[in-house]
Amino acid sequence: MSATQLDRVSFIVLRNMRTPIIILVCVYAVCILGMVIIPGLPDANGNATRMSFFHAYYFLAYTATTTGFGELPGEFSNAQRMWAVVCLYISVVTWLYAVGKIISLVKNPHLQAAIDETRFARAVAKKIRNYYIVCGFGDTGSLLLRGLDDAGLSTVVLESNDERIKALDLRDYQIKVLGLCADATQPRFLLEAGIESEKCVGILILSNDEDANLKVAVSARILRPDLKIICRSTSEENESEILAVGGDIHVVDPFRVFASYLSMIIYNPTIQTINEWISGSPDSRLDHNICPLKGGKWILCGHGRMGRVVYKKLSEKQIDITVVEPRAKNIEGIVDHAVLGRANLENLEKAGLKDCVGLIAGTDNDTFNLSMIHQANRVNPALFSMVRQNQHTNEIVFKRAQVDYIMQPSLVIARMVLFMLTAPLLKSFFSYLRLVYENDPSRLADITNRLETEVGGEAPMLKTYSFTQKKAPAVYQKLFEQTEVKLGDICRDPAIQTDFLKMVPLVHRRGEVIKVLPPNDLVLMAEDEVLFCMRPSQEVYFEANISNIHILDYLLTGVEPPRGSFFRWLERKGIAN
Amino acid sequence: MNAEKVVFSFIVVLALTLNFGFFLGKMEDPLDHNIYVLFATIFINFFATGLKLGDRTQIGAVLLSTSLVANLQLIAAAAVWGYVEHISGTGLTPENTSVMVSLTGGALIANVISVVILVSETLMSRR
Repeated sequence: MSATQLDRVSFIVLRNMRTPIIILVCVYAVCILGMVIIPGLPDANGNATRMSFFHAYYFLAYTATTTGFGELPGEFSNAQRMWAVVCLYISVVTWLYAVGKIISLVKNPHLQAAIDETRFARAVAKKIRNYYIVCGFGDTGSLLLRGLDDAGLSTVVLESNDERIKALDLRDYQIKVLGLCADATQPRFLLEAGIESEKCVGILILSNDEDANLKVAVSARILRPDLKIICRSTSEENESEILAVGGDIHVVDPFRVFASYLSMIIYNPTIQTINEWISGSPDSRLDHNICPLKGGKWILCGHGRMGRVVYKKLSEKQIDITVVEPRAKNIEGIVDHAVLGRANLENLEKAGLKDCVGLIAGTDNDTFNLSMIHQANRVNPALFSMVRQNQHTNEIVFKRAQVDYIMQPSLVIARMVLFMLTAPLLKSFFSYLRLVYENDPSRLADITNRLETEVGGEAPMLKTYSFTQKKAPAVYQKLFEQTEVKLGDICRDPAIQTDFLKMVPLVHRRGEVIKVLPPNDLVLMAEDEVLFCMRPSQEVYFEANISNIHILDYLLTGVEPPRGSFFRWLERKGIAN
Repeated sequence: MNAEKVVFSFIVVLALTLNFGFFLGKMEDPLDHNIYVLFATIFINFFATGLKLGDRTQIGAVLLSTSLVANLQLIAAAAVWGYVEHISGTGLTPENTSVMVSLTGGALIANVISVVILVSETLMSRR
């Protein structure tokens, strides 16, 4: 915790308590002085007695706080009683005022904010694990956080909306996620989120505000020149400025990513099917493509920022596509492929609804998207409909609507960022798939078949393993002993050595050299990194394979050597005989 | 001229002068040290502390700490007086009086520092 925060808390407390304290001091002084000066009952000689300062203070101490022990130490004179009445009223009122001030101070929003900030900064500084800073906890942020949590990665959240931070507190993450309601564009909050700490391994800037994102990216780079930065941006000018920040920086453009996913479903469904399967989308399997048709006429509703990119991508692939867009200035230049007007039944029919194969409802309004799909389905039930879901909260309605494929930009971005962090090697796998598709599309089917037979099912698990002493002690030891360990060997089933676990190595990395779909006879070396795709149930077995030397021995040789000294002796005897 | 500055300086200087007035006289002679002056000193010192609260500057911090020192010393002096008058019942003997007065002497030093800081800050601001 920095000195400035403590300073702020104490400053707010002292500033607010100054007036009550001064008033209290004055009231006590006046009352005590009055009690001391005013003559009491006469003593034995007929002289008026005086209360001492100590007794006056004592009297006031119990009167002001409404305790009321009575007339102590002795009976009061009437003059003293009169003054006691005055003392009682003014001191009690002053105390009430002071207590009221204290209570209002506790509820003071500035003080609350300062205390929250102090607590947050302290908790971040105490973090043991490595963590990412997430700026912006909107739809994308919350989906991403769920994914990162499942992958066992720790995060710290900065979000300027108070309601969202409250929502964060209600989530049941396995790893406690620290959140602060703060504007991340102020570098002070980045410091409090621990950006300068060694344990901070990256910052994910996901808010909807373009300028704010740029500002955060620049401040983050200046504060930590070596930090990994992933930044969301939807405009090209901003993107180039963000990239100019330099270092380990990546920009994700939700519109472009979304458009490329969408167009991939249409012109290259196989890759998209693998993508969906690896992402673990519900109901996605490898044995059938998401979009079974190719070619034919498509209708795209909405030609805004995202629609434009979809249109460009699809027309590049020679797919016949007609746009329906209500704003004339959005369809300048493509007038012969567009229908001007809202996407109602009349305009959709003008665009050729009856004989088209598919409809993409891609406007930024969920109500429009749903209603147009609903109308179009009645006219052409065989239609393949794809819909863009903008708000995560509308999920229930979208699931019930008769839609063939739902795409959520926030989900797409969250997945993409998640894979960048948890499985960076996956990118090479997909570039390889695209390459295969362009050169030899039939091989793509082989890859799909291999994944289906060797892993299969729904929602596989992706995990990167590096063969270091810490992560894979058994393999490391074998390699140290100059024993040859092949990639296939470690994937064997520990129950039956000739079988394999349900897993496929996707990418192998040795230094700068990357090999996609490495063969099973690849000989491993220390410090290699391999991205595996496996059934989640196989993880335990695989981790035992690479960390337990006895299991690995068995996998390499197929025999289980005796472990106890008696049986070892017996074996030696047996060999000697 | 700023009303806040007038009140502030007035109180801080008054705390010093009252303290000095009480301290003045023979150390062990109870007649030289009036209990009402001690009361006024304590009151004005507390008041000064209240005024010094909530100042974020470095000078403000030092001023506050000198005031706290003075308060501590004066409370100790008052406690000595209360003890001999009401608890042990010996009254103000020369020994007791000198203890009480020397405690206020400490408070006097703290008040002097406080005034020196106040004056030097005023001089440095050159306005």
